[in-house]
Amino acid sequence: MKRIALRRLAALVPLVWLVATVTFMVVQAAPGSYADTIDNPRLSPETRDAIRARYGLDRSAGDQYLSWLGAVLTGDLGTSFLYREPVSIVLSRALPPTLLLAGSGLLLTLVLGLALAMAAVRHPDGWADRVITVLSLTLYGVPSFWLAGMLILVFSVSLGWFPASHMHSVNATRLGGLASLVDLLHHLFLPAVCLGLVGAAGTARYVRATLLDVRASRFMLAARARGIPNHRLLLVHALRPALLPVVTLLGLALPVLVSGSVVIETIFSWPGMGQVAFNAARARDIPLILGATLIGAAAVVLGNLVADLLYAVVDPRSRGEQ
Amino acid sequence: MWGVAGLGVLVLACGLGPFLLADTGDGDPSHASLLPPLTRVTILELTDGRTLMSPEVTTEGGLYLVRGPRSTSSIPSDDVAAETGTRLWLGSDRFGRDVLRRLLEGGRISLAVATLGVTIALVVGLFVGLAAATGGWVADAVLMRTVDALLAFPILLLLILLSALFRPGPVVLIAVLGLSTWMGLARLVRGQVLSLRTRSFIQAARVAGTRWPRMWTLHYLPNLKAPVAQDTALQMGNLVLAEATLSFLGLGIPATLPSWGGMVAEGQRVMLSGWWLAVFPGLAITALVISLALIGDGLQQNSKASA
Repeated sequence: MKRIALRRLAALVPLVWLVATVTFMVVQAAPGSYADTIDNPRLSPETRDAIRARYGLDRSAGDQYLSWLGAVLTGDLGTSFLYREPVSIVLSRALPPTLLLAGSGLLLTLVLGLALAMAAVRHPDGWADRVITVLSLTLYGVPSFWLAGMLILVFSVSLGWFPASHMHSVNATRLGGLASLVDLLHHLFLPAVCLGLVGAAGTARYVRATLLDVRASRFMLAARARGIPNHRLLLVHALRPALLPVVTLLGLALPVLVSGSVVIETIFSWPGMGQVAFNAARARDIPLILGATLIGAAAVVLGNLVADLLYAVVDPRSRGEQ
Repeated sequence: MWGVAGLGVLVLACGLGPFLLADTGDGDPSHASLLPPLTRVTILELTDGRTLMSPEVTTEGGLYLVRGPRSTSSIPSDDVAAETGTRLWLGSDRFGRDVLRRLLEGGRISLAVATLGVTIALVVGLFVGLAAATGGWVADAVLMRTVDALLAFPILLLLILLSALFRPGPVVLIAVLGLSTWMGLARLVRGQVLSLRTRSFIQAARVAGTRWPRMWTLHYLPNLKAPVAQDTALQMGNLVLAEATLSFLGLGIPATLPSWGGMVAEGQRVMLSGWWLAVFPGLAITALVISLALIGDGLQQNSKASA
């Protein structure tokens, strides 16, 4: 088990390098550069050339690539064109907001998704099951950007219960400790609910299907024959095997914890990784694009690894292999 | 099958709808901007080819008076080639265009992009999966490590990057969406084929010396139909959402063409003066994704029932 984990960790380095290299080639192949994205008609061609030279964009692609790779190996991700700060600082400033938002979203996804699935299979085809099935199917089909807009329209614009964007109020610096925490949670609510509802719908659909399969299996019949009460059957006997697909979903969700949700962060002006990556892509900010991709790719690989390790914890059968 | 019915209605509406609706031209920004759903309008086609549209059109002494929110135009009767009345079922947008017509035209593009994208993913995924499972360990290792590497790309980030860098038209968008979604299918196909290879009818066919083109088309593909069809329905829903998301961010279908994601983005900018602009395209996306999910569910139940 430990050897497999170590081997997978070692495979992470070439994989992440490959992803970054391909990304570099894609950015190089695209027409235009950072100098062309500066929207100022009075900028003369000479000034644009000077900007290009200033950021090293006039050098050959191979030259740029080697110097970037050399710097990365010493732990230097370069300086962002757009933010005029080291990439590592831009990214480490964007990470905590993303962790907070995506973490709350994931928590809501799991809690709500599992609760809905369990409530649905207590009486399959009963009224609760039907309502939950329709609800989760609808939420599954709703595009998150549209849901976000509707939530803002109803809860911010019409009712005025929650702020529509940003992480803090304008006067947040003058608030005390507890008040600023409340302010933060107040801003967190809508984007987190938006992420959580969409995620919970998929999870509920998935877990419900698995729980129904598990219910039909023989060990459940045996447990029922032993007279184990219904809620205990569901909570203890059926839930554990039904958690297997959830673990896979969790592995897929981990990268979002680090990379952030571009759509939700953009709509709610949440200063996280998704927004930074979006801005970087639009401004052709090569060091920042590469930095964000490096971290995103590492997160995907680590997420898969964590899912596999968790799988072994939940399902003893998978430990025997290899 | 609710899913098939839903998809059928959407495809029919998008395919035929634009021919059945009254021709509102390119809309009339000065007289018909932001009309709520169900408004009755009169359409005047002028002899110079322009189209005027307004809920309030009156005639007065040889003149047509076309009232708009800010201005009234008077048109001599001789200049009017045709006068028709119609209802704007879903209202009009800022530029006085019929929302229902744009919704149906955008639906054609969304459906076409998703269908073609999923076809690319299907062909590439089937080929790579089959080749990896049957082509020996070198092909398997190379192809599956490639799949691993591609799966390590943060997909939406990659899509945004490609779209932002290349400003694609529909064709590039289809290629990008298709080529970024085949990996899951390739894994599924490889696993299915590997388990098929332990079955006696496949082993008998191999012992009989069947060559690979015949193996693929006659023995593997027919047995892959059920899991592949189910995965394809699911992937198509994901593609619809991905295309809508990119178009919403302004990186998908170019703004000159109508698209559901683009219409939501435009509608959310003027949400307070016209709720209908963002609501209906969002509902259309939801209906399409739900139909596809239901079809996937139905296929899964079919394959379970026959197993």
